Amino acid sequence: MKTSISPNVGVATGEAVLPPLMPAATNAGLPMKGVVAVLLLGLLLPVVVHDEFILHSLIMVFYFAYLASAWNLMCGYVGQVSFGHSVFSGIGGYVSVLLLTAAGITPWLGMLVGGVLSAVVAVLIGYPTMRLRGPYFALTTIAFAEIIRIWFENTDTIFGIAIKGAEGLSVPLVGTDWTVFQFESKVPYYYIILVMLAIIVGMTAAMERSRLGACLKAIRGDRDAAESLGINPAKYTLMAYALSAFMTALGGSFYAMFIRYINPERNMGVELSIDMALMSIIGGQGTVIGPLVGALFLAPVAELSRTYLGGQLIGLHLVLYGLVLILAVLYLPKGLVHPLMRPWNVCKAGLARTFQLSKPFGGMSTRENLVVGGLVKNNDRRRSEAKADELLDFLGMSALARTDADDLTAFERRKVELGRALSTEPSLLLMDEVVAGATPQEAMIMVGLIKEIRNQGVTVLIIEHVMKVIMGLSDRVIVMHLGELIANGEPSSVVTQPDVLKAYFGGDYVEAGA
Amino acid sequence: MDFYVLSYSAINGIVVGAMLGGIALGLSLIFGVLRIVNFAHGSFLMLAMYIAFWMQHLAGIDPYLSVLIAAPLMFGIGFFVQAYIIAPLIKRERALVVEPISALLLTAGVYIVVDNLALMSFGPNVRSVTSAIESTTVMLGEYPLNTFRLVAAFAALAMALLVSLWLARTDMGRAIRATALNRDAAAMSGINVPFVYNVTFGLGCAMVAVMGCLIAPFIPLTPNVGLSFGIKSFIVVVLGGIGSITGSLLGGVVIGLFESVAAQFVATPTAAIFSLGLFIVILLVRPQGLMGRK
Amino acid sequence: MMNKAKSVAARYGTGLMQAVAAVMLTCGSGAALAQSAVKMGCVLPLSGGSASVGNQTKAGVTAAVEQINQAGGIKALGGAKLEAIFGDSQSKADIGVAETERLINREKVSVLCGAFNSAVTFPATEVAERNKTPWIVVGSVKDEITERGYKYTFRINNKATYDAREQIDAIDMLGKETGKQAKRVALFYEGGDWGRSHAANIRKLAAERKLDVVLDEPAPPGQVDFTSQLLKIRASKPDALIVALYTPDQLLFSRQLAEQRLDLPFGLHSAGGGTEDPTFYAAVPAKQVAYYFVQEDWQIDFLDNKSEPLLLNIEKRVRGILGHGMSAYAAQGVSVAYVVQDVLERAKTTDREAIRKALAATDITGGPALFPGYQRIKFDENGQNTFSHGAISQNINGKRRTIWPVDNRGADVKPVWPVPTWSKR
Repeated sequence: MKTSISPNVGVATGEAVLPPLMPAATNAGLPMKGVVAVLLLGLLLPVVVHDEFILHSLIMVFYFAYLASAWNLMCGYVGQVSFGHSVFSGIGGYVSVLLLTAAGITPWLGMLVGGVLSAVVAVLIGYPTMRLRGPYFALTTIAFAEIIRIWFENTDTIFGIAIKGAEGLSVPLVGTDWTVFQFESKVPYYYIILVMLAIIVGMTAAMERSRLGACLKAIRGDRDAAESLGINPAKYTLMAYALSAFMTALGGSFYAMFIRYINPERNMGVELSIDMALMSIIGGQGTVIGPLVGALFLAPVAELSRTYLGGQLIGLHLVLYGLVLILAVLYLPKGLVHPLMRPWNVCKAGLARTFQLSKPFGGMSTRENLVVGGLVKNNDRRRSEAKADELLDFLGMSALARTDADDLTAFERRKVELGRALSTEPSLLLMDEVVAGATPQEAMIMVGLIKEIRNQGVTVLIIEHVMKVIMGLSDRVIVMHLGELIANGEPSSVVTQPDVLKAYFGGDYVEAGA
Repeated sequence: MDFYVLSYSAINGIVVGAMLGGIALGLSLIFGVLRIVNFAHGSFLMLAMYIAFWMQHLAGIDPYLSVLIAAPLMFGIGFFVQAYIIAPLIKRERALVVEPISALLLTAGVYIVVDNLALMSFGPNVRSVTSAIESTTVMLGEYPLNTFRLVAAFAALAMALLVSLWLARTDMGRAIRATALNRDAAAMSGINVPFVYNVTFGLGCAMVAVMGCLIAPFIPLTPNVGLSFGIKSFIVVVLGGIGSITGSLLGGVVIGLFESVAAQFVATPTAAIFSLGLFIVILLVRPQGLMGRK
Repeated sequence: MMNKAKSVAARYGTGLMQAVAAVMLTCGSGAALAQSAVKMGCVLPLSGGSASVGNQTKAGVTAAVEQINQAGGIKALGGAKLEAIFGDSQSKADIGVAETERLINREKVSVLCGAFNSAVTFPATEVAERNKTPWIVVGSVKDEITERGYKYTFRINNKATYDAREQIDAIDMLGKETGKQAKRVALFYEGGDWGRSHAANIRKLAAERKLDVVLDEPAPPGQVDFTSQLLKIRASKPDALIVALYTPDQLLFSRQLAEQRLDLPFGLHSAGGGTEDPTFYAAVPAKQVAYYFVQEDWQIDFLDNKSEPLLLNIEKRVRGILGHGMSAYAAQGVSVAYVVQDVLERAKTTDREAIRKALAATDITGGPALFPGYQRIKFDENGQNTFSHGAISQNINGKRRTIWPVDNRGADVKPVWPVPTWSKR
């Protein structure tokens, strides 16, 4: 009789309640702390920095980060590249300026009106063009944006309201307080854009986990498959497009109020659209913080190269832009943030693992193996060595400290690897087939070690199909069979479940037993 | 509107349109075979014009003769760009067809680099190329036509014809057509698809180089001259049908005629808005273009 | 410099803000070194669409500053050297504002100038006003720049309305001199800020002076063919054509105009732009631009009429930098540098407030500051030089000679009016 044996998954937790594996389930999780840190630091910065130029530069960097994030809301999540987004920022800017100058309406309300109008324009553009894919959509957005820009440049009045064509609009100084969005110092502008940035990043994170986000990602992944699940791509894409246009318009309004001047060439031109797209793409489109990272990387590159090379090697910063874009498309297709999710960074975040086929560093002594792991958390070699000795003692391997890892037995290699994982001071330890190939005695030693680790407060996730080990160790057991979850609970309750027994011993056995 | 003005603008529109079609040929070929929208197309045109300029400036070579230098040189540059910049993308995606949007972004990167390298090396000043050909206008009946433009228009026709013949009659041409039709089948028939890609990209660049030298005597040269031609070329190619050689010429003529005649009735910016609108409508209503297959 | 950029990039992951702030602070520290020099900041479009223009002004400023320093610097400040620090606006408002902030707060300049594009100058002068730093406008003609009651903004050159008025005045004057008046004008201009506002001013003045505007046609930049527009001009049968085009468009337009042998009885009147760019004349056969009237912010034959060793020297230096001779843009750069010198000699300090006062009291009636062809530089209460004027030249026998104002006209210059038809050239 052939029985399909599926490995059990055991979870042994420490005293504390099992924490969620990662703060936010997807790529958002790990660097999110960094974003919060950056934002907090940003909050304090004006207290320390009084230099108007630095503040101005930071405001512009955050402004670009904001625009890139707004672009990302639709383009990153749906996977359609728009090279015409600047039009929405232009509309937002124009509407808020005109409402202020012509009707004395506060820009705070004006920017919302501009946002709504942009969203309407986005729907009008999006409705017929949504079915175009890839480059066709990208080229169409350029065409739409250029039509609107050329029209603005050549129109002096709309319904009797002067928009002054290519000359652009300037915002007269009407006061210095919150109601008119005008301030003496740059600090209030700084906080406004910082808050706007925080809002859009938070919004993106919320969207990531929302129904809309899930649908958009499904559409990006495979449109046909998404349709087959009952997702209407046009509906969700349009929603995202309108949302993205709305947010972009708010950014445009901010620009108009901050610089107090707006014209079609700068605020509706292809160049601005390409900037938004590049920052988002290079940073990592379709991620929460990718656009932020991209803008924080590219905008200062432009600032610095202009400051230092202005007029010397004209165009150099754009050459760098182009090269970064080419390299990013070729080697970091998921953007700059992707490496933040690489294993080494995962380790730094407190996650360690062992391998089914142990991989200690050959050519290094047992002790050296453990020292390397310790260096991740603390750069101090001496402390790392002390920690290594402690662990060797814990593993009962002090006598083998100087032995080359290549010369160890299979079980000793496994223990070295466990020690190495522990030396990174993980809060979560993943172990793959801990007792594969071990003798019963060795297995018992391993179980003892893991119990001790658990008692010290480290969560351990084990994949194993030796029932004795799992039953002896786990606080919670998850059983999977042919990729399906069939049981999840306390060890004692899981072993009695018919499905589990059937999976383990075959249907005949269960029936015979029953 | 008097008849002379209308008929003259129509004739002129056809001449200019044929030139635009000729410029778009390379873009169409590359798209037809590699399925890549080459955003850097205009930049390659600009480079060819600078080659013509420097050849004349440094060695006194007439722009019409520098075709012989610019075409092979640009073939090499195109071959190189495909082999070293775009091919890694194809390798990375482990498929012969790459995700078109990545390819677009990649060539957009090439466009930014090339245009700004030109700005860095040649400066922002306007340059101009002159040809030894003295007579600048010929009279077609009572319509004065610019000789250089006529030459460019006829050269576009000739080039389209030659390339069609080459694609039809030679082994390499057949390999390119086979790859365009079905790259997997082509690969299985022993065609070295990556090499065909490199040659096609090179050929597309060589074609735009020929046109670059021919328009150099009448189009003022700046490092950003390529962008407006590039965007026009997209419109032409989409209109004519992507990948179709005759479609490219036809699309050029339609756009040239349309803009030229429309400008007689409305202001020039409005005519520009119309032609962008035409581009959008064609994409939505007949994405295969005038001559393209579904 | 590259290394700094790279190190910033490398540190982004950890302490982005600190990195940016640190680098910005280090770049500032270099500024404190040259205590003895007086700094003037120049915000100019050194890259982007108007790069050619910005670099010409930069050359003019550079040449004049070198000359001032060779002659012993600012004597009232013990021979302190004048130092020009340039900021690249890329023709973009936000970047021009950032560069202005940098020059004021990091470089601690005593006085600013720039920025050619009115779209940049307008918001940038507001920053200067707020920081109480004097700004001498170079090249921007938007009227409102000196109509906001600002105390720190000064403009040596024309307002846009002056430009338009001078063109119409010249047409009037030539008509009166010869008894042959132009009655129908056609307008053809680039569809951006400059071309459109110039056209609007012409339109207004033409209505006052009873001139018929028979065609009013903007052109988006980057046209590949002007045949259709030339046909429209031909069909409207103008006496004179007023154009405002940037260099590439002007080049293509001039060639096609000559090829089509389109006769304009009272000629082509250009408001500068391409026709004041020396590279334009290098690129187009002289025959094709014969009899062009060009309104520009300096006097093209200044050195033909008067030979000043100082200016010949500058001409040579500018030629060395640019590869071509003086231009209106370079001349304005020279002028602003010499105005700054004059102001510093009188202010006797690098204090911004004192400089502003000295600027307001400026009254220059001689010397290289008048290189653009002014008779005098004196600002009104809004900071506008009321003695500012442009000069209009006509291309006669292959040479551009000033024909307006009459005071600036050389003894041997006789305007050609009306201009000969193509068949008679």
